[in-house]
Amino acid sequence: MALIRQNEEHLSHILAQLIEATGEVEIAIERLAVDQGIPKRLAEALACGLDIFPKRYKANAGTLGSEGQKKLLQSKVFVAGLGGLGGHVVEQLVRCGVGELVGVDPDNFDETNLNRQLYSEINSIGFSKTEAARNRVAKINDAVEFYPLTRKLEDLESNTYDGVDLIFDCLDSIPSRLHLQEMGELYSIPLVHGAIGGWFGQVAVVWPGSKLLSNVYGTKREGIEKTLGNPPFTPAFIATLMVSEGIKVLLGKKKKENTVLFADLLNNQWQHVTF
Amino acid sequence: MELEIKLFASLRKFNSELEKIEVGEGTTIGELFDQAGIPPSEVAIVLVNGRHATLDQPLLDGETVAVFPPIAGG
Repeated sequence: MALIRQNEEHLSHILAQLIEATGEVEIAIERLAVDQGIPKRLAEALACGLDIFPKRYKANAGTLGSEGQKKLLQSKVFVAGLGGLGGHVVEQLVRCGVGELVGVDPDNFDETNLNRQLYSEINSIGFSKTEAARNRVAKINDAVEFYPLTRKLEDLESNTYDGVDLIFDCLDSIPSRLHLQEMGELYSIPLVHGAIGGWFGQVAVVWPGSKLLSNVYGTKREGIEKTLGNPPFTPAFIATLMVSEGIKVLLGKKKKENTVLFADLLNNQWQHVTF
Repeated sequence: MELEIKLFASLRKFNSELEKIEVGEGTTIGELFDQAGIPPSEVAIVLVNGRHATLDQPLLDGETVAVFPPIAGG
């Protein structure tokens, strides 16, 4: 990355020439990546730096801007949990063009996942969630790099968090969520938290040092999902809110406050709670 | 004294209509839950007039108590 930053001007110049010579942004990006031995996501970021959008991000342009798209392509995001929330979160991050994704989940799909987990299919029962996510990412955007970790969060080495700009908490247990909050705090990485149960969900940005999740859960170690279960619409809705919050954090558009948004999809009530 | 109580999400099942409740002077949040039939085991967050509070906190006339359950599924 540092090398690429140093060479940014030089590589941008070559890319501009390739675009002029080939008349096609995508071909020029591909060529630059191969000739210069750089990841495709960084070649795309250079194009955005020239205010030229690769076609797959054209519809992001008006919302993210070329600087914003460039920032996302240079970002590394850690997604903990690839179930109901995590599948939808990965799907949107890869379509946003977030350059690097670390996906963590020790589990294989089973039949009870089919109602809500985006990457679960009849044919994927018994196969790992990380592999399913990796295959899906490769089908959508070949510039995004996905690093699958089929392990328990608590067993990961500390260097797993190297270079991570943002963490997504898509986990399903309170102790694991608190562990992830600790990791965010230890490595000074902001965390987007999401949780679901029945018709209900919550979303928050946990800034390092805020210990927001400790306040949210107090002494509780189980949630209402144990009795209410998880229907398909709640994870999709909460994951969407998580991704929009996360994109704002990555682009520096998110105010630092310790607020949880509670969503009640049964009564269509939304409540902000600030700690 | 009179309090306003707002139950959120799954807690509405205990009393979806409940808004105003009459309690004795010095009633704590824990005692309020007993009176309103809300099991403390199903409560994660309590706010009094929008501020984070604990079960042993005594309440004052006219205060609003908002109550949220723990949500942890993914």
